[in-house]
Amino acid sequence: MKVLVIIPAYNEGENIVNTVNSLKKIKLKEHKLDYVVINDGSSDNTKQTCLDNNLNFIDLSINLGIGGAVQTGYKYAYYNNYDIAIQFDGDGQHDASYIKELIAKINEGNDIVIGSRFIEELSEFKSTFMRRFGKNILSFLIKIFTGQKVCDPTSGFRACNNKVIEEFAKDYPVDFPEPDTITKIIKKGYKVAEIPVKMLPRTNGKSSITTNIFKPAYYMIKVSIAIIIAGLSTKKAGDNNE
Amino acid sequence: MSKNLTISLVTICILVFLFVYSRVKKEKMLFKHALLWWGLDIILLISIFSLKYLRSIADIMGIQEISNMIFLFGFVVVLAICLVLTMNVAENKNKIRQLTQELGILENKIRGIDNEKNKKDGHK
Repeated sequence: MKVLVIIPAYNEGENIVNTVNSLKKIKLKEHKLDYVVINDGSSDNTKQTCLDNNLNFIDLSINLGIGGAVQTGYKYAYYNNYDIAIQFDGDGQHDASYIKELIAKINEGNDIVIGSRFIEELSEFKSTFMRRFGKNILSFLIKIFTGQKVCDPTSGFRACNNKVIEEFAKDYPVDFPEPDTITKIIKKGYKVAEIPVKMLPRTNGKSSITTNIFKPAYYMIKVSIAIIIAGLSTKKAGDNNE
Repeated sequence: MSKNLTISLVTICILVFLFVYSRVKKEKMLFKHALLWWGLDIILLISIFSLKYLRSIADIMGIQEISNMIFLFGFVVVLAICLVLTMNVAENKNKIRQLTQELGILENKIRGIDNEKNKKDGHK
């Protein structure tokens, strides 16, 4: 099976080589593990670093935001007939050793598997009360619209099979897309599972969400509304078969 | 409606009409958008010269001055045009996103082919 790791990177010049190297250490017996870095119009030296180190990367000439960057990866996976695609942050916070577990869970018959930071207390990188509170609200909203509990709807560490790759290649939201897509995918009847993962602290640079006091509040409002719209507008699987 | 107001409104309508025409001629405005503005223009002109009917419509709507009704109408149409333009912005943003993605993927493919070619040339 062909597995592609999609690494969206915006101004991750200092982290990207380490991130890719951590992936190269993963050895899979039955799978071929490839990666693609999506340089999302970075203003730092990310592109040059990718060129100098001969990394496989897609250079987006303008900044499309996380959704646009990740969707580029899904399109690449779709065009190149990958069986599994794994989203993996370029900032070095995701632990590559969980990739095997994600793939194993996909092979068990799940369509999408989320690397969850909240199932078990594995993370050394403790999240704040407000972050947990926000995450609980989003989980609650998803539960209302889909009936399924998702412990970590905002996790950017997730794997999906070729059916979901095709869905994402054709339709993917632009900003903060994870909770929105999870809602749609569950409603469409795909199987979603979670595995506990450990998050690593950022080695370099700043997070895109926590640099401003107002951003988390704006994020919460925007994502909540996006979940509600996705929940209301996506037809439940089986509704068409009447 | 006073004579002065009528003259002012008609002048504005004519100026807008000519300005939009000049933009379309120089291809600085899309014809479909020009039609929106000309439509607004024509509706305003018709309104100005059919005061009798406007009076009765204003009475039905509970508006005391006809001029207020014309301005209200103009405002609503301008809002509608804004709404259409907002949708156009979203549509264009989507198109730009798709183009950027496809361009990036294509460039990645070309780079891959170039690398392979360079490797082969190196072996020779």
